[in-house]
Amino acid sequence: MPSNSLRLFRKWNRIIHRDFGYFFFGLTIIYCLSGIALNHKKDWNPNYNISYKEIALTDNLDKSSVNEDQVIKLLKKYNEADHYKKYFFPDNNTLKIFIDNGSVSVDMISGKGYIEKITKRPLFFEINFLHYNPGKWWLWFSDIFCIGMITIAISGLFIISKSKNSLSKRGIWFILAGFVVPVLALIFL
Amino acid sequence: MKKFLFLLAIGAIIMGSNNGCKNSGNQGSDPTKLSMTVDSFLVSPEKWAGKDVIITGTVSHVCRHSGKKLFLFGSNPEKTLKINAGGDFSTFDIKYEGTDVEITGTVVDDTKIDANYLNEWEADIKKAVADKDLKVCNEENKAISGQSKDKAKVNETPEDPYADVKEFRQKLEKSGKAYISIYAVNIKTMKEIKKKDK
Repeated sequence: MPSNSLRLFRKWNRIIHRDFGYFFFGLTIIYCLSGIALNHKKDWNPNYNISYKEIALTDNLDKSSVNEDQVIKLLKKYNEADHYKKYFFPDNNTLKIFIDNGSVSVDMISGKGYIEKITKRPLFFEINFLHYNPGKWWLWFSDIFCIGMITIAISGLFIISKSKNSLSKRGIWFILAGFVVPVLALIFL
Repeated sequence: MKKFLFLLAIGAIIMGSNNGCKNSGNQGSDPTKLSMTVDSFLVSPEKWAGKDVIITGTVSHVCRHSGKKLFLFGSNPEKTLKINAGGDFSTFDIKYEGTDVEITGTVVDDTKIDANYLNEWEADIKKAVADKDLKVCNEENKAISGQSKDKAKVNETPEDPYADVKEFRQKLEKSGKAYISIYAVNIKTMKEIKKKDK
């Protein structure tokens, strides 16, 4: 028969585990999804959809004679004149035009170029923004979240009392197995 | 009731942390900051190391992957300055590309160009040369080159894609140091400079 203090501990442990789990459910999903997205940022752009459209100009462009009117005229052909922001020459042969949500790059010698259009990836842009820690009070909230996760993990160890599945029997082996992967990573990576 | 008390306690912690943050962030701007353009900064960036500065320029590029850095240019688009996210900006929105901005921040020794760095840089160029369709983000290296080249050299279009790496190797050898420092600015605030009505 467990003592009163042990019963009280188990009761509060369950309450903490359950309610912290409910409260941090949303944030756990946000951090896990954005974590996967950012882990693979070498393979894809987790924040933006970027598309390229090849273009070929028939008019000759020359760095010394290019002006804003000419640039706007060029953009009109591709229905981008209303989105014009600014132009500059990254080098002697390239004209770069900034437009809303993208840019146009043209090789002035060959006349070949491309229109780059950028749109935010729905959902991922927002959750990645949070993952990257937007500062201010979010820093503290995400710290609380981390403490919450530790609390959930520790309280989870004591949910099951005396049985073949308790911490001291089955649990301990799973905990040790869980440490094996990071230890192997430290040794071999 | 107990469940409610738990949620209330969590809410109180969050509110408390919010207030703490407000207090710490209320430091105001420093009127003694040095104001300059990207061009004047790049003349001798080491002079400003560790100092708070105000820099004006045009955003040439925002990092597509992390949004953690952007690049500014002044009168010469081939000479850019790297700005690191921080302060009011955990990441930079891509909408800033092509916008004239005024940035306040602290100048930091951002990149150390040593033999290893140059080897990796060379390998990246090799990849880009081998695959002409590969769209490589070269903005960071451009900002590094901008702090190495003198104004006369910058306007040349080097035939040799490895010209910058070679130049740095020579510089490193001549300096007798283990590395060459490249400076960037850790941002605190940024405001858009609106075009004046024509």
